[in-house]
Amino acid sequence: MGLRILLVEDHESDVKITLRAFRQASPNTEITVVSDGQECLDFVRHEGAYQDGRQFRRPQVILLDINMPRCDGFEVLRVLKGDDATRAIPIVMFSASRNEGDVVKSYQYGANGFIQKPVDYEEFLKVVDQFNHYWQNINQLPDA
Amino acid sequence: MLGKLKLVHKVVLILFVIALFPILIIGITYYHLTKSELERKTIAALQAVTDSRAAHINHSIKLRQEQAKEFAGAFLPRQMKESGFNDPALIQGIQDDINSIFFFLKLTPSGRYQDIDQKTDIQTIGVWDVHGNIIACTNRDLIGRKMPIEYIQNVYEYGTYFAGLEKDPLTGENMLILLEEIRNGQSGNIVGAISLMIEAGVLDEITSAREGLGQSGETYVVDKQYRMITNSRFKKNSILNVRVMTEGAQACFQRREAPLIYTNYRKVDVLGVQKYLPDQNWCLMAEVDVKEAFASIQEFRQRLLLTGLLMLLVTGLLALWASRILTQPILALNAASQKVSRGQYDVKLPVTSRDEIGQLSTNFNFMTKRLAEVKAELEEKNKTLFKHLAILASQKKELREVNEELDRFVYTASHDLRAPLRGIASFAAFLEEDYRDRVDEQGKEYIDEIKKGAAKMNTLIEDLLLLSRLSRIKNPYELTDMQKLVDAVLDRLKYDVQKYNVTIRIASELPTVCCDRIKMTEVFQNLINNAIKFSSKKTGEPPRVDIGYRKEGIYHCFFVKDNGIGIDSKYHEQIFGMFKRLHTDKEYEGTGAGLSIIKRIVEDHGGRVWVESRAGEGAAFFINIPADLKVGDVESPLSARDPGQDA
Repeated sequence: MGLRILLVEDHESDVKITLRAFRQASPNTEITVVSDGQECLDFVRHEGAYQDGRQFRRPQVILLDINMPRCDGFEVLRVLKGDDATRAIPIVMFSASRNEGDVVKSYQYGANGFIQKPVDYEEFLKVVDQFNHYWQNINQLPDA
Repeated sequence: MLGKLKLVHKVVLILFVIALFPILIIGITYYHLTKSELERKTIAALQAVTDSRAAHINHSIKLRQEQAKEFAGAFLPRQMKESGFNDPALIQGIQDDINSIFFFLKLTPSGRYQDIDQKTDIQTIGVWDVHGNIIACTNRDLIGRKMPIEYIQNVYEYGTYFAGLEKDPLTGENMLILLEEIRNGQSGNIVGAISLMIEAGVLDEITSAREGLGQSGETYVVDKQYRMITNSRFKKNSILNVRVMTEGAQACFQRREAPLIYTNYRKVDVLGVQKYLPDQNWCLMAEVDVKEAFASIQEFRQRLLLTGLLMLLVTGLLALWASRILTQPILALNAASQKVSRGQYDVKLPVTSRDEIGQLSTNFNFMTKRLAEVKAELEEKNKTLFKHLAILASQKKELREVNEELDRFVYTASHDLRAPLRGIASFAAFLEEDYRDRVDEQGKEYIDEIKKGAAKMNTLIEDLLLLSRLSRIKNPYELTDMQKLVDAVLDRLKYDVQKYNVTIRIASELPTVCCDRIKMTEVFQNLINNAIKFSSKKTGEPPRVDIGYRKEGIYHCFFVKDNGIGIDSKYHEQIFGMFKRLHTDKEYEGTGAGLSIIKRIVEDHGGRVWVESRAGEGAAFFINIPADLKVGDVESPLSARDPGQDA
């Protein structure tokens, strides 16, 4: 069994790049994609279109973009980390920049990691590979 | 000490001292001249008295000796016998003779011997034989008595004898005693002698006169035995009763006649003049009390002193007046300049003279007038300046707002640019991977160009973000040991240093500077990194980088020098602009934003960065950091950024 990841990303190209990178780096990773923060919350809390808990299992790690329409990454982070039911889910911020303010704010809200998306695809691939290696092989996750 | 005195007092003192010297010199000289003149006069007067009285005494004694000689020669010898005086009639004749002489002298005191005083002073006339027995005498009681032997011997030896003033051996009265031999008219043999006893008062009459002797002066006569033989003014009955063993008398008998000051027989200090009388072997003394003798000198001295004091007083007053006149304008000037120094420019000095002080006052008035004008101008300019300052302040605020806006924009824009860029880069990579077999060489080249372009653009965005981050984040100034900072940077760059085999020299000891330590590290990292890279690009010379420091006025000045290919002077301004690339990528890697970043950080500190270089001769980059930055501040008061320049 691969790692079960929820990717929250509104840019279609970034979604494609990320999915391809994961496919290449660790093909057995199970990735679900939602395109904004509200959808992410619905998915995790089994609300709206994702009420079927058996079909939409909670992710082991959430990869969360910051700049998104409707409900941005910080808002998602704040809600999920403020809720006892969802606080245990590790959230790694997946941002285009590594702005200090964003980094600090993310950790203050309870993020479990902060990754800048590299522009270069080879770099991107390396990052994904190591991300996967860390969360799957090195880090111990709680049972879902 | 003089420096503490007020000007007026100084001038008074100086004028006073100047006047004092001639007064003192003239006074002292005049005193001494006059004093010796007065002394000379006093002494001369005394000498005149002694001279005339000595002559008088000598004269009167001589006259009486002549009288005695006349009596002895003219009358008596014809009646006297060589054989002796046994004949009573003869003796009676002699007795009659002297009686008649005596009588005649008493009757006609002014007759023949009119030079002698009015009444005769001959008291006794005696005639004695060769044995010294008195055979006739005007005083009959004395007949038959004998004369002292030394009188007889002297008379017979010298023919005439002046015994001086002695007690009459027969009567005990003080008498001047004259003896004269009597010779026989025919044979010429000595047959006896005649004696004249003259009243001692004869001398007193001469010496007691007071003319020319003042209040305390007197004259008296002293004989060889230092006995006073005249009556003293001050001591009754002094004849032969007073011993005059004084310095004056001794000097006189030793024939050293001179004006002397000594203590006389009365134990009084006197000024004395002496005259020796050789015929009588006497000394005539003239004495005046020193007190009186020099009284005129004393009086003169007092008068001189009084005059001197008066002159000093007048001089002092004159000096005071003169100093007032001299210093009054200066004091006025002083007071006026004090007013001016307090900012009162409406003072006007009266110009009362045409001398230097008058000119000074005129100039001073002109100066205060100009000062007032200049002050007014200055105030006017100040107002304008404040207006401009206010405008500047508001402009600065606007500028800052625009800057911040711009920074936010750059941040957002570069952030937003990344997503599509990542798309371009990634999909080019996918194309390369997935369609490797279906794309020919040309196609592969194009894909490569797309990837390169994306990478380059990524760098540009990184730089933009870095620049905007520099503006957004400001670290408080802290004391930073530049030596440690440079060491840390070199440590970070040691890989490159080794790789290019660069010699790094830190020329002098680097100071501790108050600055944003993190950003200053960035500056040196960029400078040294650039220098390493530039110096390594020139062939033929081992790469070398010099790091140095010097104090430049209120600035700390650091420089980093390389021995690379240098920079043409026409690019010296441009290179600090954003994204200026002077060299192709092949020659130089690194970012175009490095120098812009340096410029922005240094200017945020209120400093300046510039380059000194010529093409082919290496380049030296200088940065100035103000030395007066305060710990804890986040912005230099000198910081002024032009937003349009580098964004």
